[in-house]
Amino acid sequence: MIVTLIALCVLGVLLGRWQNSARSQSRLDPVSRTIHTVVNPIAHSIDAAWDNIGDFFDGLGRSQSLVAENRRLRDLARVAAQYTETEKRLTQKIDQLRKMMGYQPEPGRKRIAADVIRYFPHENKITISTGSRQGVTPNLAVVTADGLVGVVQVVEANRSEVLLVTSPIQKVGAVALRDPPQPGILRGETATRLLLDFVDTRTPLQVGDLVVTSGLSDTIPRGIEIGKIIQVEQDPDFGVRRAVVFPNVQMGQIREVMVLK
Amino acid sequence: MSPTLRVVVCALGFWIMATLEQALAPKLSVFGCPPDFLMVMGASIALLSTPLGGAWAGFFSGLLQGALAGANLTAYVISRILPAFGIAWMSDLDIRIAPTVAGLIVAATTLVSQLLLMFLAPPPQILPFLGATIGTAMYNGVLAIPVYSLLRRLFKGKEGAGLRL
Repeated sequence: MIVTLIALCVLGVLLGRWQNSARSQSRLDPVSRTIHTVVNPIAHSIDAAWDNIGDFFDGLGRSQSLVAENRRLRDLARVAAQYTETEKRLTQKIDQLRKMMGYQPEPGRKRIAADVIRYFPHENKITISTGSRQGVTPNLAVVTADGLVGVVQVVEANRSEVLLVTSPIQKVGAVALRDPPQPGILRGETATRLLLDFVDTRTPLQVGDLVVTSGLSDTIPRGIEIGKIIQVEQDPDFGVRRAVVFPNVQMGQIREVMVLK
Repeated sequence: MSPTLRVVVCALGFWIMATLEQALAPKLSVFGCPPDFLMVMGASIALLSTPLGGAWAGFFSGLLQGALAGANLTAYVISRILPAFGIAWMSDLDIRIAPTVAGLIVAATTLVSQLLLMFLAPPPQILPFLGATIGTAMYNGVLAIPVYSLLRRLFKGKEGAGLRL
């Protein structure tokens, strides 16, 4: 009996190692993939049915306000379409100029829309509804209108796991928007607290400074908002100046995201 | 019920619970605490089986939970095996456990499992994790009452004959 118990624990350790090895190559181990394949199709159907039923009863009670909201959203959509058209035209112009100068196109031009399927607060991860079939690859940035959500970690055919910017193991190049911009390395601490470390202890910083991605990456474009500095700390013993950043995105509340390719 | 049929019922139960876990657990949160359907199933099966059966129930509970959450499989598997083995060993003493008592045992098992998980794979924030664990344990305790009753009915029949997985 004890031998079997120990054998099961050892099997657990081996499965964990197999999982880690697969994850280091940005893919799922066969055991996890099989479990996802068996569970997810029905789970998604139940999830969608639950949402539809909830929306139906919600709509019954708010039909008048929904009509007004629908009208307002149509107006907003028209304005957004004009803005998107202008942005597309200007982006094409920038790309042409970069090409003429011999530079590579900047990352993040193509946007892949996705729904958030699940949120794992303790693991600092979300699962999104797009994968390799839609063109998602590991290390791409995932954003909402409010800012950076995280980075794609594991990609499957029709879903991907995203490691959130709030994870302590997620490191992203970021700059505090001052004149000149101050570069540092950002990592997560809690859901409402990110840490931005600067090597230069004399870096001028101020509470309220906006923090954005630095763009010093092949996959994460520059200028994506991350949050605002709420506290500045100095640790001269370790030669580090650190800013505490409050993230723009409330991770538990996001439903739709964009993957930037 | 024959042993083979019991294994089939357990496999089906785990599949249903894994589906509910994936589809509905976040939506059924109460005060931010989601239910842990797989823990309820694993602990309920462990209560009705031999220590060895309990260890297997804990193993599959942890494996499914870890795989669906994309979390460390080792931490999840070990943190589920040991408490499930423990309660199966206790309940192997031919004590007839009432569903309400089973609910309390499952709540306690959830607490122990999550504490083990906390040591094996420390979460970034301990206090919110502990708060969510206590809430989930209470939720699981309530869910375990019907689940355990149903499984006991299936496995042992009306008369409550002994079960050996």
